[in-house]
Amino acid sequence: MNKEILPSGQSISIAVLFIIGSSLFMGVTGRSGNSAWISLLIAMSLSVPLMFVYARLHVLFPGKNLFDMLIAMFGGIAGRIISCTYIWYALHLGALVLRNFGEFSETVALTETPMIAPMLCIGLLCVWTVYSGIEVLGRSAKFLLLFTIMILFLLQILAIPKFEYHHLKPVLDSGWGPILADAMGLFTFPFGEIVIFLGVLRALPGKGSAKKVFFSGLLMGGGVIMVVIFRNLLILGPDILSSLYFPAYVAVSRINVGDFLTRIEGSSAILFVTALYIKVSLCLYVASIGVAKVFKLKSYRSVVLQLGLLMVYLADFIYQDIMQMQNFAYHTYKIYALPFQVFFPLLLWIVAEIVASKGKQKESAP
Amino acid sequence: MIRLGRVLFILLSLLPLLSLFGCWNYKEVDDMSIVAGVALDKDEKSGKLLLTVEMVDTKGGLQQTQAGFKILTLAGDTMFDIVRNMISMTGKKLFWSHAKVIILSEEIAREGMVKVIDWYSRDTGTRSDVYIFVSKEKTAREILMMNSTSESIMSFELAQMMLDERNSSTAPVVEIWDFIDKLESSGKSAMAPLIYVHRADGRGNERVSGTAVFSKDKMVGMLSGTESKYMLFAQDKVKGGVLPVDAGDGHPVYSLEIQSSRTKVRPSWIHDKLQIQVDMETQMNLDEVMTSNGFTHFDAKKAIEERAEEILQENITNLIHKVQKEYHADVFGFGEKIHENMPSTWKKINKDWSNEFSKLAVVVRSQVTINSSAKTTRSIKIGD
Repeated sequence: MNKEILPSGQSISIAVLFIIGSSLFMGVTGRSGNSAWISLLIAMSLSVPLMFVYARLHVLFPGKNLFDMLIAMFGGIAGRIISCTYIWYALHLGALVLRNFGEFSETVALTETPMIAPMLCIGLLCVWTVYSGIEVLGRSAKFLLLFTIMILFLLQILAIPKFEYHHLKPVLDSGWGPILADAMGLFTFPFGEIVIFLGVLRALPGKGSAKKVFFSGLLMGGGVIMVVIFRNLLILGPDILSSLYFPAYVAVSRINVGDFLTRIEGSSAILFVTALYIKVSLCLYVASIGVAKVFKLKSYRSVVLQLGLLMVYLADFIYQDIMQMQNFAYHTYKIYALPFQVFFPLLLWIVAEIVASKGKQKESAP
Repeated sequence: MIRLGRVLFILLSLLPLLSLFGCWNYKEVDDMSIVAGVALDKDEKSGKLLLTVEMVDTKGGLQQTQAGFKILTLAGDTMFDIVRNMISMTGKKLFWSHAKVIILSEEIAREGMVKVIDWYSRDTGTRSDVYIFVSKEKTAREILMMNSTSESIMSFELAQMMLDERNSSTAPVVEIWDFIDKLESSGKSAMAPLIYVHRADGRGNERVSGTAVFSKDKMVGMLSGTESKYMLFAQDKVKGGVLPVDAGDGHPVYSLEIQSSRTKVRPSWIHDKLQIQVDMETQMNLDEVMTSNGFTHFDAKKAIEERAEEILQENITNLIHKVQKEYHADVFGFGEKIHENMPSTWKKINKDWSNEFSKLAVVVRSQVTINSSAKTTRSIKIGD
């Protein structure tokens, strides 16, 4: 099996786009109102220790990915069972993100087109990318990240005349309760989701590089989300913000430069698609790698198409409607995702540290 | 074998053609009825909603320089019900994203706005940047019907009028998202411009002047065009317009053109009482002197400035008192300012805000600066 290598610039791009993926258009829960940015800061600082654990795993298991680690630490059977849950998580997450996109297109753009059509288009594109390998994903991410940041920057500038800074006051209007709840939500979606990235660790070069990838992903992704939160809040205000499914889209639709540059929200939707494409591709890649590892396949490529189609189909029937999606994404998900994002990695880390220190003792003893 | 493979290859490459049919729901412009504006009334007999739609007539052809229009009226139970039933009259689906105005009859506005604007802000076919008006006439649709005299599309004319409104400042410019924003936030009451038919010499012309004041989502009163100007001053929304100033005897002799105005609203505790301070800084140009002995030397400028300050302070204070006493609706957004600057106080009083608002003490301070006197240096001197 030829080893694929991701230069750190490309893997950082993947991580950043992965983190901002669906938050770009789903926005953030509305309960903390105009203090959402505080929740974001809390969520980012909560993620820091988690990133240390993830990066440490890369140091402890050089050249291995999540599934190798699980099987090495917990043995063939238990390791494979936990691996299966991670395959499910990757597949499910990819489906959720696809579904977000599907709902988005059905709600605001292509109202009469069945949701499966745009989802299938993106899904097949992701299958193609993943089939071509992680390097293709890395290169496209690097290009798309530049593109995304440029457009975001442009939108931000165009939106400045519509900003109403008084929406920021008073700080902590609704108290700490909703802020902490939202911080928890933000911690699991999107920051904790970077756990998926553990599946491609073996493609990273060198020892310390994982730390760099995780932290630049956290900082840049968090920065972008912060900018988007502020833009939505300053344009729309906390009251309207909480009533919308896709606040970013509506906020951008308010942009009006001299009655000439208007209705640009359609073009800004491109951003959502690019970030989402990276996120879904990475999920699909990790799920395929996992299946290949658990079932001892020669190459993950033989299952990419099947898993991709399954993911699209799963996305199609996973929710009944957009209200259910909203409810799951903002309320259920933060509990559902905890085992995958926190408990299993922590367990893995503790076991690995014990094994490593024992190994060292053995080495130094004789 | 090779031939079979080639046939298969050709067949497979034809397969993508299926996806290249293009648009899923392909529609040509002449398959749609483009809506320019809507008027909403209450049907007198049945009490149902009555929707009148002004549409751009796409059948005009190349010869006509101006697009035609078509007006349809239909009654029904809900907005969306009527909108879809209109297909039975037009034969085409209505296309909403170019609609510019919504005119509501006073009756509808007084009964409550939520039931008529929710569809508009929820549906994906509509855009939330349409202008909203309240008709002072008996019905809203007679405004749209006016275009039989003006030969152009009334809705687009009104939209143009709203763009130029900043030069007169006699009515607020309200888009529907702005209206909903004010409905949703506490400590701020919604408002909408008034529209009516101005009749002179047997001819009618549409006119936008004055403000409809809302409390919650129900209209509670009206302000005249002049009062609206002072209201806009207090809201920091004045961008232009003219302020007539008298020389102290009640007869206006000077016209001051408003260049820019900044208003700051500050809540504070004074003697254990909540007080709102409204501070204005206005830059003006002297653009008209209707007397030969009013503006003769440099010191006269100072006097005019002071007089303008007095007028602004007096009128704005009177207007605020009027809104407090008669309508109990905080169109000035004082509540929001208290919320932002004194969150703990706001928690105590926001339950009963309309009542608290009507008791609020308000102090208005104005500072006027005259920057120029246009082309001439003094008033016209009458020679002997």
